[in-house]
This record gives sequence, C-alpha cells and structure tokens, in this order.
Amino acid sequence: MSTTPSNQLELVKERGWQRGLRNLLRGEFSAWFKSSRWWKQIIIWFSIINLMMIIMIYAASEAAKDGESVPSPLFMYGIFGGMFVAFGVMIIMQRVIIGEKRAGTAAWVLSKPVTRTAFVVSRLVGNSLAILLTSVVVPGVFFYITLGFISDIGWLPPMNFLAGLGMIMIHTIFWITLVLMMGTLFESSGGVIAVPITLFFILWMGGGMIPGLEYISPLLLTFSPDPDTINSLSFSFMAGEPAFSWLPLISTVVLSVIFITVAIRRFNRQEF
Amino acid sequence: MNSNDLVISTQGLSKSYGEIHALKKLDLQVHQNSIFAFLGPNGAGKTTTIKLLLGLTRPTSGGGAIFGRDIVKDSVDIRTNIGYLPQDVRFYQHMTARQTLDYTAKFFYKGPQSKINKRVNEMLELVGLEDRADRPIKGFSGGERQRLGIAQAEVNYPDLLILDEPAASLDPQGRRDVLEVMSRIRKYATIFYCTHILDDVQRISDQVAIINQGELITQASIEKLLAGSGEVVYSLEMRGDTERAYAYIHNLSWVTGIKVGQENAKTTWQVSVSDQTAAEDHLISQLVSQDLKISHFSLVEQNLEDVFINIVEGSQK
Repeated sequence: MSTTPSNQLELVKERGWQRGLRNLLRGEFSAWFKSSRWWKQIIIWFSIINLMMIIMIYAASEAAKDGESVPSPLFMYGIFGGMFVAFGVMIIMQRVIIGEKRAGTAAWVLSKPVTRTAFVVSRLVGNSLAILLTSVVVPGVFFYITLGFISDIGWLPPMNFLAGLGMIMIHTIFWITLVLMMGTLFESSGGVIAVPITLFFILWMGGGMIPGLEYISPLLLTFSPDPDTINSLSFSFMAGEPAFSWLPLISTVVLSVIFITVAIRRFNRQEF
Repeated sequence: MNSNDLVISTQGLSKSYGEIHALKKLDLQVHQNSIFAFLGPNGAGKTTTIKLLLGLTRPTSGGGAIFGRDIVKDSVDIRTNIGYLPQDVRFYQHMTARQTLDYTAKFFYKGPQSKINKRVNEMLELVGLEDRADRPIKGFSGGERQRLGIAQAEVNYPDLLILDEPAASLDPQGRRDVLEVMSRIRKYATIFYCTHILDDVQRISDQVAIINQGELITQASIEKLLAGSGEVVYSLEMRGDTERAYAYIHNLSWVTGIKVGQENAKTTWQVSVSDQTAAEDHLISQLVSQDLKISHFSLVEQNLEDVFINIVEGSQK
C-alpha cells in the first residue's frame, strides 16, 4: 500500500460554488448514459409520443376523407409532448434528491470537497439534459419526420418547428425545477409528487375560476386547456402564427428560476 | 504534545434538535498522527459530532477547527484533506467498486487518468476487492461495502481519516485487516474513529474520549484511562474458612473491597487494594495466617470494557 501523497496527481482546481461540479455532472451523465436508462427512456417516449402520433395522423387523415373535423397533429403533439412528459418528469425526478437523502449517498458525496449548490446544480443539469434529450428532442425529431412523410401538414419550416419544440423544452424544465425543489422541501416522495400533480390540475382546470391564470399558465407553452379561444405557444410557433401573449413564457421562466433558487437555498440549510 | 500539532479542536461544540440536546459543549482535542477512539453508547452523540466536523450539520453553538480552519466557514476546504467512512456506508448501486473509487478520486484529482487508475488499483488491493472490482455494488455484502468504504476514504491520501464504526459488519479476519490498515496509516495520517468494539480500541488507539448523553465524560490516553482510579485488583482462588478470613482481610487499611464468588468447591475473591506494594508484600501471608489454602493468585489486568462501563454508568448516576 502506498500512503505517501503522489505529486504526480493533478489536483482539482474548481473554486467557489463550483467545487465538485464537474465530477458530480460526470456522475450524473454516467448514471444516464453509461447504463440502459437512456435508451429505455427513448423507447418509452417513442411509444407514448411517436407511435400515438402516427396512429393519430392516420386516423385523422381517414376521418378527414369522411369530412369529419379532427384536431390538428400539432395540437395533439402539444398534449403528448407537454402533458404526458410533465407527468413523466414527476415520476423520473421524484427520487432525485429525496432518494439520495434517504439512501445516504447525498451525505457521502457531501463529505467530499463539493458545495451543496454544485450538488443541486448537477442534479438539475444532468437530469434536465437527459430528460430533454430522451423525451423532447428525440421524439420531436421523429415527430418532425413523421409530419413530413405521412401527414397532410408536410414539412414544417425548421425554425418554426424548433421554436415550438423550444416551448416544450421550457415547459419540461419548469416541471423538472418544481419537482427538484419539492425534493429539497419534503422528506418523502409522496409530498414531492403530490404538489406538482395538484398544481398541474389547478393550472389545467382552474383557468376559468382563477382570473388571469389562463394568460400566465406554464401549460400554455405546450397545450391550451381552452383551444377554442387560445392556441398554445408551441402550436402557434410550429404553425407559423403569432403568439397570443408572451406572458406564459415569461412566467414559466421566472417561476423556474424561483424554484431553482429556493431549491439551492433550502439544500444549503439542510442537515444530513 | 503541544497545541501546534492539534488536528481537531472543538470549543463548546453543541447541537440541539428542538428540545433534544444531542451534543453539549464538547471540548475535544485530537493530536497529529494519533489514533483517537471516540466511544459512547448508542445515541451518545458520536455520529452527530462527526457530522458537525464534516459540515454535514451546523452547530447550534460553539465551534471547532480542523487543521486550524473553521469547521463551518472552511468546511469544503477542510474536506480536501479528509477521508470519511460513514456508518452504514451507501454508494451508487449502478456503479462498480472501481467506478466508485474513480468517482471518489476525481473529487480530488483531475488526472492524469493513468495515475488515478493506479491509485484505484492500490486501494482495491488494500481492501482485498481486486476480484470484485468490476461487479456492480448492488450485489455486495455488508462486509464488502465496508471494505470499499475504507478504500474510498483513503483514496485521496487524507491527513485525517474519520471513521464511523470502521470494523462494523466485518468478519474477524476483515476486522483484523482493518486494524492493521489503521495502524499502518497512522504514520501518515491522524485517525479519529467511533466504535463499539472495545478490544480493538485497546489494541490500536492511543487516545480515547468517552461521551454519554451528549456530554464528554473523559478524554485521556489509554494508559491513563486504564490506570483510572488508581485501584488495583487481585484475583484469588482458595479453600478454607473464607467467611472468618473475610472480615479480617477487609479491615486491612489498604484493602478497599472484596468481591466474593464460588467456583466448584473453591471460593474466589476479587480484592481491590489502594496500595499495590503492601498487597504484594502481605496479602498472601495474611491469608495464609487465616489458615486458607491459596491455589491461584494474580493481578487482574484492567480491561477497557470495565473502565468504559464504570465511567458511563458513573456518569448516569
């Protein structure tokens, strides 16, 4: 055994809140991409979003031949890519902080030279990138190709599609930051998942009851609870129409920043 | 020893959870290159102390320093020079032992990878996990996890090793290996550890602190602790009218107590004395003068377990 410090090893030189961040991110990415997790997620989301969209596009084209009015594939994509992914995020993220606190791995990692802020940021960045890639970007690309080849809509202008996909990404990040924050506030995964689900249904069904909610709800980035009067931002951008308002985007970004701030502050005060 | 070689020092370090005072004004001093055993019954405040030292928990009052740096303000810097083995250590289940050590090493070193690999291999060899290095931790036994815990604690050549129950869940051979590793490491590092296995403490530690109900009861070297009250005990086996002799011996000025037992047809006494020389010169002759036949006479070596129990029970009265 050698216990003499080796001068051949180069010391990590991160400073401030970033202490340990690089290695924490490496750990997060390896948990996603050096395991079967990433391709399993892609298969799940391909099945939920893309297969369903293919079926719907065929069904819509058959219905259109019979002269029936059917929802646009862009509207349906907003529901699958927005609502379903939001619930997926709640399931995937529910144990991210809580699980580590309870298993003791958080305490173990925090006994190394890492800051708590770096710990939270690594969980946010690592999971966000992996979730966005597996549940938004890859299904989005498949959907774009599907639209081009088999739908009546055809090939959308790429920038319009990317802008719409960007709205779905921001909507997904909103739920990621919310669930992450809940992980720092609660000690059980029940609480972590209950609050986002409740909020989702309030945003979905409370539009008519809470004045102004229909103009700031993050749900409006991907699907509209009242499509007869308002189109979601993703729908509008993909269809090349102007957004009805920028307020949902602004409120979603502001709320996400607040959630991250609260998560970091709360985690910095926690005891292990 | 002087204050310049202090690795850990705490002053009035306290921690409360609401009405529960987990740690009360702890003043602790751990010197460089010592093996410092931190003892106490379950719930005494040992793990709380370790968590305070590592910055995993914040003190309610008081403070402390490691390597002369504040345990709250400089916590991240301090941890650069510490290796820590938690009680019931847990790792990421998807990683192998090798990946876990590589991951741990990279909190301290950024490269080169070949040197990190070399260090990882040294650690796997140190704890005898070479043949299981590439298996997922998911399938590891408690003992294997504990070995890996020791390896990850040592991977960064720490100046201070903090070990919470290092020999727990190890078989006798594993326990012996851990003690051997600790003895070897002492040349380069200070070891602060908690344990319930008092035999191990007596074998390898040079300083001991005993804590009970959040309060430090005593801190001393092993020798000083075993010398304890200054009382010396002799064990005797004999035959004859011991009842008559009992009062006579008990009245001798240097005899402080006698514990009587019975073993087969023999009577056993544990005679506590305040003057060892007087006892060695006169105890046997006094017993013989009482017509007793002595078949065994020996000095009872003080045992840390007895000392520990006496101290802890004494602190509860």
